[in-house]
Amino acid sequence: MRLRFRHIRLRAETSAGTFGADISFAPGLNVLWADNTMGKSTCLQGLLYALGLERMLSPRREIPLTYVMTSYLDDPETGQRHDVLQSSVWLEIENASGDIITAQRGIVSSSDRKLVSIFNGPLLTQPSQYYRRRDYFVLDPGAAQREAGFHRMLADFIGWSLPTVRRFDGSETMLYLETIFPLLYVEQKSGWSSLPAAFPTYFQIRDVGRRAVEFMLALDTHDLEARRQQLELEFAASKAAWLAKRDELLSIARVVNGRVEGLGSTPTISVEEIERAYMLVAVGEDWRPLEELASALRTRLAHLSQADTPSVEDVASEAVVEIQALTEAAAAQNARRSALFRARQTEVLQKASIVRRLTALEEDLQKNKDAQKLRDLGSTLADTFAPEQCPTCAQPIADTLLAQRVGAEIMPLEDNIRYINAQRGIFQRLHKQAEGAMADIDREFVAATAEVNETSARLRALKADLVAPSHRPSVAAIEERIRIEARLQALEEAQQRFEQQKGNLVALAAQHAELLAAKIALPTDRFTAQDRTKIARLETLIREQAAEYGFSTFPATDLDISEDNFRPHKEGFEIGFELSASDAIRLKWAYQLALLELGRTHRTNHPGFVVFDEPQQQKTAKVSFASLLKRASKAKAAGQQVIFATSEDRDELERFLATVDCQLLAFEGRIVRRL
Amino acid sequence: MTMPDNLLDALLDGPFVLTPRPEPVPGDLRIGWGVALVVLMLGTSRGRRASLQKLHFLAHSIRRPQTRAEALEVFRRTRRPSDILVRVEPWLNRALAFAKSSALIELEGGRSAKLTDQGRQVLAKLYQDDGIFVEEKQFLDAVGGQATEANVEKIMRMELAL
Repeated sequence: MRLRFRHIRLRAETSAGTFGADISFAPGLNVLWADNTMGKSTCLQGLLYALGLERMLSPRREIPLTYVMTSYLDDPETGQRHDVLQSSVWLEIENASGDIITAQRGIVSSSDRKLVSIFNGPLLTQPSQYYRRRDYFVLDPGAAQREAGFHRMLADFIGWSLPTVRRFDGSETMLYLETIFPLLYVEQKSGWSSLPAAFPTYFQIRDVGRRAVEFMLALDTHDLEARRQQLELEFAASKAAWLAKRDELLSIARVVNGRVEGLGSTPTISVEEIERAYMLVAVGEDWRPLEELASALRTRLAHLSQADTPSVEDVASEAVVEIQALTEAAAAQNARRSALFRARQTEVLQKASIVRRLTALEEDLQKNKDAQKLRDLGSTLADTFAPEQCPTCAQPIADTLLAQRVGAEIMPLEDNIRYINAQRGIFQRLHKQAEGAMADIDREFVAATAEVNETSARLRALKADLVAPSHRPSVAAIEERIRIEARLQALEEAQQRFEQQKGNLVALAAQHAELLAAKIALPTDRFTAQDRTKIARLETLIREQAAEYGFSTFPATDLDISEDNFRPHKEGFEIGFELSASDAIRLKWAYQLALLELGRTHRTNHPGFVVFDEPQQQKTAKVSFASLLKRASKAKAAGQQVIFATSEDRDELERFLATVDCQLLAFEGRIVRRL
Repeated sequence: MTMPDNLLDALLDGPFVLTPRPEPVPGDLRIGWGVALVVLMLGTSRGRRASLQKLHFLAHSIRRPQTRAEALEVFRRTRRPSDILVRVEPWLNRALAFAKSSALIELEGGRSAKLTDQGRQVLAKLYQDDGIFVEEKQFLDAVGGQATEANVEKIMRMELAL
């Protein structure tokens, strides 16, 4: 991950000829010196403009360059003013793998300002006509994501894969380059006033500063958060899948008038628990395990099929007894069925009355809401529609058209609406319960009807036997055998499907167990151990530098970095106004350089450069930066780059720099001059 | 068996306080609702004026979905006037009193009511907002020109023929 500036070129064509500037940046520390208002900031902001990052400074799409590049310039030799007819900025940059590209973007230009042309070579330092050129767009939506978007291309060039972050409205977006660069480029005006940086907020990214620093430090916390959210989604899906499968099992049981025992509505991870689940089948008023019933039927069937079908004569006496018993059973079954029917009727009435009550409540709610709206219609009507005093005698009155009673307190409208809503909630729950109860009764009723039918069929067969010639085979015996066979087949089928579906549940349980394991494996802490070492190192680096630069508001060892927003803290409190202006600048230097230096020892996403544009209010806070420059010059050995613009007294500056390894880019007079 | 001095204290493990709770009031018995309804009823009547009898008839009919449906059926001559039982309710008289004292209506000889200019302004305001009195406005529009004084008189006397 690296970005190094190699060369910037500014060009402005005027009626009086071509003006411009060329600055080559070396690896390590570059000190750009010129007097105030001579064009330092124009050059540095040219860097941003060439990279299409001007919206980092303000959401407006204005060109962040001075009039020299946008409208007119004064010829320093003649003092004459010339209009700028055409202007552009060129920037040559290099990445970690040594690829060099040159970006060119028009300022005053016939071409679209949203276009950035990229030449795939060092066009400025080694001109050649053979570099391939491709145009990309900036500023438009999609510049960061689409193939032809310049910021996507630039992020790839630097080696960044930009994380997805949440907007305030909950939607997802990516962390735009404009939100990362404030950590790398300290702009003259607002750049100095905030730590870690002045992040643009109009992208509507939640906790934008925190996200940008997390990305810069390559903390695992972002991945963790993403994984946590993903897991939650998978949990919900797993639960839904479980419920669906469980429903299938329940409906298998319903086919044979049965129900399922031992399956909860939330996923279990115990395979044994699933294996233990079984079906109960209604037999009369009892519930018996399906297996037990099936095996009883099987025994009976075996018994029936072993013997030849008995003749009427053989079974006649038994038939009489059975008819007796069955008639009694049929009476009981019929009674039970009618009891169920009555219960159902009661339930229907109950439900109807709940529905009536609900409708009445809805109506009353609507009227209350109307009354509330009337009161809020306007100040002129408020007295008419919600008088607190009698309009005639000015005595206090209660808001009701019932007779006014002394001492009776009337519920205010808002409370009344809440009160009705609460009642509505209760009745809605009752309604649901009534529906559930009815479904239960319906199921029982179906079972009871089947039973009654079965008994009467059996009775018919037995009676047919009694009136048939005595040598005929017994109809009752045949009927019983057929009935048992059919029932057994249904039960066995259900059992088989039930076991199959149980297999699927076991698979779901295994999945769920994996999810649970993954959830447990997630660290409870927001930061991993590695994250913590990075933050601690950053803190050390900042403290170290603050002490070196002469930070004096309080001892530098009291400085902490907040884990919430990565701002400097002192004893848990954010540092704000108590800082002197010069200490604020020292802390800014310390923070931005610490980010750079952290990249030397730890894996971060820092592209290895920092740009400091001297604060405008420099006069009010004159801070010696000799030790800063000394520290910044170490960037060279680490393959990093620091660009520092200043208008400090030149002699003094050169005295500092005598012992510092750096490139001094000094301009007497205007930087942009006639070529 | 001896009774403790204070049975309540013995049963409760904390102090016991009774506070009167404000009474809930049905929305259509709020002053605002009633006054607004008076304005709406007069606003849909000829000359922005109606007899107290007609107001009572409409106010009774308008309050519930069932009574609204029945009143409409009577006007459509699909139901006998004797099937509906119009009640003269005191809340309407109170609403009229409030409307009068707020200068929205004038009462003429204790027999009829008429919207004042101020009442007309309020009427316009009520019609500006589509979200309030939806059912009520619909009913008044549906009854429309049929709820003439003569027709209402016939209904009250159960003389309206099928």
